[in-house]
Amino acid sequence: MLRVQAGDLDAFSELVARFQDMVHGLAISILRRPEDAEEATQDTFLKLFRARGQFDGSRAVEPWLLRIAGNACRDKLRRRRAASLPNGRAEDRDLFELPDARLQQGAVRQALDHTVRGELEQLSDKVRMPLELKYLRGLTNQQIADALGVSLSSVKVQLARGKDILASRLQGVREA
Amino acid sequence: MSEQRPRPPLHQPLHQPPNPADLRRAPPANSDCARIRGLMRDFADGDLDVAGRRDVEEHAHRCHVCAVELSRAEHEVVRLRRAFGQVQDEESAAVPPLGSDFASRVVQRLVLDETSSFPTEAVVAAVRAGAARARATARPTSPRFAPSVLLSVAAALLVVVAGAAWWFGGDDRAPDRSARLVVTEARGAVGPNGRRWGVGDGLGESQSLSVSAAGGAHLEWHDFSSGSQPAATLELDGNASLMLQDGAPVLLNGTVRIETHRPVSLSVKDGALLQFGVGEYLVAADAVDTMLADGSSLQDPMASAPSDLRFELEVLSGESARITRSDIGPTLVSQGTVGVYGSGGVTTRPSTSGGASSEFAGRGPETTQVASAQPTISAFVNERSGVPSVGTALLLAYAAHSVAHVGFGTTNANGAFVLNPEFAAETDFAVMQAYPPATRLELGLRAPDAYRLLRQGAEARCTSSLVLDVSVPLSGTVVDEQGDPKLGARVVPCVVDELFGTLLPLLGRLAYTDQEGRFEIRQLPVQLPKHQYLALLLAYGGLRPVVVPVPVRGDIAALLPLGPLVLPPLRTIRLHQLPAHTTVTVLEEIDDLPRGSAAWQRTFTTDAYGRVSMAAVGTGDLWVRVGSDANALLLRLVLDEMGSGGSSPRYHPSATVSSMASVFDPLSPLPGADVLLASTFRHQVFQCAPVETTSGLALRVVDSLDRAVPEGQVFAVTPTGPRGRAAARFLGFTSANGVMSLEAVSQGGDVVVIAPDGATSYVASPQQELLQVHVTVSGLGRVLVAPNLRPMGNAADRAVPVRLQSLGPVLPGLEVSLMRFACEASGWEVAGIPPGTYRVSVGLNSPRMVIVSASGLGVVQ
Repeated sequence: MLRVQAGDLDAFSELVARFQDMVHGLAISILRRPEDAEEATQDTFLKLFRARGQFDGSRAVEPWLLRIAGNACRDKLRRRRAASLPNGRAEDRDLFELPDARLQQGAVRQALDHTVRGELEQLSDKVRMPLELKYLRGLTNQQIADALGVSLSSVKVQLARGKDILASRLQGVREA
Repeated sequence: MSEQRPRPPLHQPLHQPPNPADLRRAPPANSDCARIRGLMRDFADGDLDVAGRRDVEEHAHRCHVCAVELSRAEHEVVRLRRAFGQVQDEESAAVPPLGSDFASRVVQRLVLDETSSFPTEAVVAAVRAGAARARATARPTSPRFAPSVLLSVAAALLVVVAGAAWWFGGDDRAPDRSARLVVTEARGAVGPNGRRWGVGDGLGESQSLSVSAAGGAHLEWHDFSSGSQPAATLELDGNASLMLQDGAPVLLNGTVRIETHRPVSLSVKDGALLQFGVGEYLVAADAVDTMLADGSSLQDPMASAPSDLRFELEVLSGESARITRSDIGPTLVSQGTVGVYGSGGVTTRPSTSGGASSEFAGRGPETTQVASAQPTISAFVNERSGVPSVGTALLLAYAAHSVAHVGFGTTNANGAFVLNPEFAAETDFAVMQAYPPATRLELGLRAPDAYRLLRQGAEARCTSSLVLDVSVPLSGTVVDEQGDPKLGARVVPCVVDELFGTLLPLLGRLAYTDQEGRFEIRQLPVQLPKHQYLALLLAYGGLRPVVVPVPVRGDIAALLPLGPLVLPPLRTIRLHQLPAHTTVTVLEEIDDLPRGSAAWQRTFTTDAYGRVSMAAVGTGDLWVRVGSDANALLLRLVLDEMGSGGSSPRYHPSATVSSMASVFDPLSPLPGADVLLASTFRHQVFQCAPVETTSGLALRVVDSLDRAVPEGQVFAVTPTGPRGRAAARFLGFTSANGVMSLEAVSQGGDVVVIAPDGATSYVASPQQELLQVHVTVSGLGRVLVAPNLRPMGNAADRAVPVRLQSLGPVLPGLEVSLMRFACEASGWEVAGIPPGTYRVSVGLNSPRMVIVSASGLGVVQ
């Protein structure tokens, strides 16, 4: 990272290569659209490079990167929502409160098997997000906290809540 | 309802709380169990530290209830992982991974934003190199790209972008002070102080050698060049002496035979220069000062005053030599002649069999002609009446030594233009353009065309003279859509090629409109080569350039007035998806001119989101230019798919990047305006290597009655121009028998033949196996404009433009688009149309189809 701060493009290239999949995964989880996710990933690294002077070289880059990534994705989401709202006003709604797009397709999904996966799909984003980031994207709790811009304890609470809801929904269901 | 699960610390839950339902189902037996329950989910996730893991495992070992709960927690994770695993599978099928080039794309985007130059590999490498240099000197906490990086980037760019061709300028020879004359044979050769020269001795600087009447010497002259072969060998025979001075031999007295192995130059004391080619030469010097018996005068070459220096130079064989002195200019001495150098200058005489030395009788042919076979090319210009035209400027291009050369000059009192080029013309044609003098405003200029040359030895003469005709002045007014006249609009007459789509602006005839929007242009072409037309380009700052075809100034339609030329309004569009806070350059193609030949340049500044909210443009295709002129790249601006009903259309840059060269011809800006124009004409590139009509393929051109077509112009075309447009190369004229050798056509090229009357023929890839390719140029047809398309009322006395776009299969890259003028005086007929199918637009009417047959009449209605 020190090299990146000096403007070394090769070092920056290496950094991108190292973290691109992680950031991309995060972006897909938040944004749900591949093209938006790729743009947000690119934006994340560009922002990182442009702000490299503000980074304290003695610390690890990952939390900072994840914070930038999370912000970039939420920015994008906000802009996307602003573009599609009928009154055109950008409402700064928390990511966790946004109803998942898939919930809106709930009617279509009524035919889904009543499996864990099926239940997963029906969770709201706010509940599902920490679970997805942990079990699909393989992020650690601290990484999830950095990316979502919340505290570590908040992440743990949310994870537990997600598991609770899932468990209660699956009560009495036979597992495959 | 109070929950029995252990309350986590108020602000800092360290672990995932256990499921309350589980706690109710299987309550912890004691505080220890309660504590362990609080660790279980983290244990299952692998998020516990070593001590915590050990605690849980030990407790579960002892406590059955907790052991069951632990396995539930672990099973929970397994289920989740499995479920997400399925999601993962689906996702990887639906979402493409970023790819290994993602990092380099990000770097390229950075480079684009930081340096405003397009991130080709070369640029990226240069920026990296610049950043590496900056890194070497920068501290770790240095902020953004330092200005020094940008500067070194610019320098690196120049180097990298200039291409892989490195030019080693100048002489890479190390100065070798060992120039010397080496004796290879000696008979009675003595040096200063009576020293005898022997084989293998070398004369150093200022050392001399002389041979007596019975003596002789052979010497090798090694000059300053590093080659091992000597520059020349010298032979002295009887009563001669020379010395080495400044690294070169100086003949003091007598005769020396020089055989040069490479071109060398020798300077003479009085400043004259002897330039030898490769050959054998005889130099006989006649120093006035007498030699002293002891040879002491040889020590002082300055003893002979410059004005007393006399010598003769004869070319025995090989290349010509040249004697130059600043006050008398160069004199060429070629084989068979003798140059006599004296104080008064240089004269030449033919060598005689006697010669200066009988042993070296001139081997050149005996000629009675006084020497200097200087190449000349001459052309004649006169007016239609036959009066020679004086002071007309001519630009003449010809081929010699496989390279194109250009000469420029004015006609003399006899209307003759004589060029004395260094090399004689080697092909049978020259390309010429003529500009009448400013005192003759009523004459029209001649646009570039090919003319046949008749060659005799080193002389070449244009077989037919150029004729200057009286040109009808062109005047008009320029107005905007409200009809207000425009002051200061630029009016540029241009010559457009109908077949090859080239554009030649006649910048010397540029005019400006006055306060009433009026302009007048004189000396415009009276006639143009077949299938070229004249058009006016109108450029006014802030409004879109407009192209108006006008009749050539000898056409009957030229007598008719030109209506007011209207600069149309612009339309407003929006742009987005561009870099933020950047000034972008947008190039708009000027329609109505051949594709890629002209563009209108605008700049817009994007906002923080990379948008331009109001861009005023015309109707041509739009491109965003990235980078500097030398290496610019273009992104096409494409319309967004979703219409936004009501607001102006929005464009974004397409992902495909094109190089400037692949979209446009080389463009130059019109001074003072935002218009970029190409400058090309169909004869600009021509065959330079003379074609040996020995073996091989020949083209025989005949007309529809099978008669030979002489003086037809033959072009090789390949679709290598921008956007696959045909690029033409002029090959030459067909002979009196209508024949032209096809060896000049490179493999895979197509051929276009234009007969003197304008009849054309297109030959696709002439077969190399055949001995002769028959080409028939079919007669030209005419098109009649039916009454329903003719202008009525006030406009009936105007000439109406008729544009014909060929729809028939022509050649790859050839888009034939003809421009003619119909008027009442011509019976509403236009002529000179090659047969084919055309889409015809008469004035502003919608296009119709018409089929024109050879020598036939097509009616468009």
